Amino acid sequence: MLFLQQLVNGISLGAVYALFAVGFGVVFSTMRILNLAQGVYATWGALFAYWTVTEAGLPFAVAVLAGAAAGAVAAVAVDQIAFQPLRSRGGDQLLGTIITSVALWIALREAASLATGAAPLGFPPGTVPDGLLQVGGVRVLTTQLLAIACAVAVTAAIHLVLRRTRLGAAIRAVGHDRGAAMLGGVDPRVAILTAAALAGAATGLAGVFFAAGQTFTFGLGDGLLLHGFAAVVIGGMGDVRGAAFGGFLIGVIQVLSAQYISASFQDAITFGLLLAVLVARPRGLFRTVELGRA
Amino acid sequence: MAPTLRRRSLAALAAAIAAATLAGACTGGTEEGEVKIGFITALTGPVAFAGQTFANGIELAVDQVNREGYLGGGRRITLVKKEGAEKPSQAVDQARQLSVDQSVVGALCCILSPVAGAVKVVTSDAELPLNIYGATDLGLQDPPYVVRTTTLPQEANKRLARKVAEEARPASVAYVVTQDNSGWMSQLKSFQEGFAGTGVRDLGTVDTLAAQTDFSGAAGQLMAKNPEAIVISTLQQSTISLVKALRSRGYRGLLVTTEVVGSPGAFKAAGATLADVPFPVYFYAGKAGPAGQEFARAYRAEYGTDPDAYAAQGYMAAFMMATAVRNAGANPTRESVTKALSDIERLDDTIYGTVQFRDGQLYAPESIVHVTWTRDGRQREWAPAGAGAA
Repeated sequence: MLFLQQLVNGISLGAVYALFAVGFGVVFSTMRILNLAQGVYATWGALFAYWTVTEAGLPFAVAVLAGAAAGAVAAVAVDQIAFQPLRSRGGDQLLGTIITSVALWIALREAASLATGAAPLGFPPGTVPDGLLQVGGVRVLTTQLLAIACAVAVTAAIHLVLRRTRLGAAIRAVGHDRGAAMLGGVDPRVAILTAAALAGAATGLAGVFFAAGQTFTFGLGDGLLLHGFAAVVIGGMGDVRGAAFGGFLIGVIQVLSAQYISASFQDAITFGLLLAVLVARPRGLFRTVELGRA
Repeated sequence: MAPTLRRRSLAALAAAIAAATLAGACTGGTEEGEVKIGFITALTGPVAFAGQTFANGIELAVDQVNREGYLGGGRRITLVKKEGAEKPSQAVDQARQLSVDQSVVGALCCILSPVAGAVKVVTSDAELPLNIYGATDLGLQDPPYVVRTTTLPQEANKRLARKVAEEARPASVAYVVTQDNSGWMSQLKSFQEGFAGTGVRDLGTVDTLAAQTDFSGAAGQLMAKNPEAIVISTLQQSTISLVKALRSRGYRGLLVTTEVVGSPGAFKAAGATLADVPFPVYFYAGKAGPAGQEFARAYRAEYGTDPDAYAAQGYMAAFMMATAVRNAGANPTRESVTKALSDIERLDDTIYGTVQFRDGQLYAPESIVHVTWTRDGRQREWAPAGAGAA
């Protein structure tokens, strides 16, 4: 029974990592940017959701949407302010974008610190769905179920958008070869902005569900960044389903390793798995499908 | 020749101005009767929420000392504030600046133990007396140059554990700790020592990490042990998250924790889930003596809230430094303040009542009170509602 309980806890934690990893993967596969500022989108998503319920007095459902919107706006703004000037220079700007994203990461993190006074924050009791479902001896919180459902739905939706729509084809085309996509009539700016917004919204949702059941601070996104990055590498950069799978896997491994091995080693085990995957399957577990190929 | 002479005159004037500026910077330009105390603040950075409260207490004490003429002879304390953000490198830089300013005769610093450990090396090398106001790791004080007015939580935790064992009488207890932080391990040990020999069965300890942010797994581990009481010895954010995680999953046993949840900010983040969770404090206005009551009244008047343990520690740190300055004679220097600070063995009528100093560390065991939050965000003395029942 304890194993099942911790498995559920691991899956719900993995759902948050999955949402983050999906956003991370979309950005990398379409824009070829290793965006280290991605974690801060989650922080701002959580903050806007928190303010939506505490300052505006609106229900949690609206807060979830506000968190997703905040993440999307942050992602689009960062892309246009920091990455677009580098893209416009042409050539391989991978190193430049990494350095720029570090600067944005620090700036947005400090802004969040100032906005919150570095104080711990938490959704007040009663503002987040607080139901408790008991199946046998396994307890599942409503927020855990919502996180899992949201991760599955968002992954499926983004996958369908990228695979089954003209817009998705345009995004994939730009990710594969921007010049060729332009020759084919694709507006790369629209494709990139759409990809940034989708990624930011998914990341904002990760922040909201991460913050919903506990306290959080302006540093919320830092932990998500590391685990989200590991999830993308393990699952595969080229497929949102792989990124989501990686997220769920990491969540389960973290909780079960803390339960049955040692909490001290949970990160060592997670990132050990990352190294093992990099050695054995450098393109990730889902390497057969690559989003970059239009 | 005339242009050359003019150039030489201008160069000499510039050199004189530069020398005067440097001299001013080195002495800080002390006014008559002014005694400068350095204050490395933490108004930004990872613990800014606590840093503001410590600063409130320190500034209130200095205002009071100056207003009441506590130093005598028309002297008054001026705080030389330097923002250290409670980051070791930044705080050390600020400590160096204070150290080179010879007009600064004492310093107040540090909430986090690693920061205090780094800063005290710089100030001790400069023979600048330092009073640590918030860091709790054992052994940080090092007289004559480093003293500490931080109230140590270990003794308070041990007493709370004994009270819980005697009055709530849980049959069993489980612990959860921030395993990669020596301060929290030390606090865990003090709780375990308090429960030792009381007949309360120890069901073991669940480890968490300082960087950990999800506590669903830890809550599952703790509840699987089925304890009647759980002692939480973790960082503030972890503690609040654990309380939320346990209560939201239906844990109804007794939760016991440290002073870390005593600030209004902690209650704001946790809400009513913190209600009836006992924790120890050294300052509680409801049981304080006359000086403590006056401090609480003045604090409410100035800041609009009740003072918490951090505000009290800040106040006490500044008050002790002021006492050392007063005892250091008419013209206090670093040397005389160092001696006066390390000579203090006892202070009466403080906000904690009578306090003792041993080896540079403040002790105030008689002021320990076990309190809890009420559902509407007030603090009251804790009394068990009955035997803990999981």
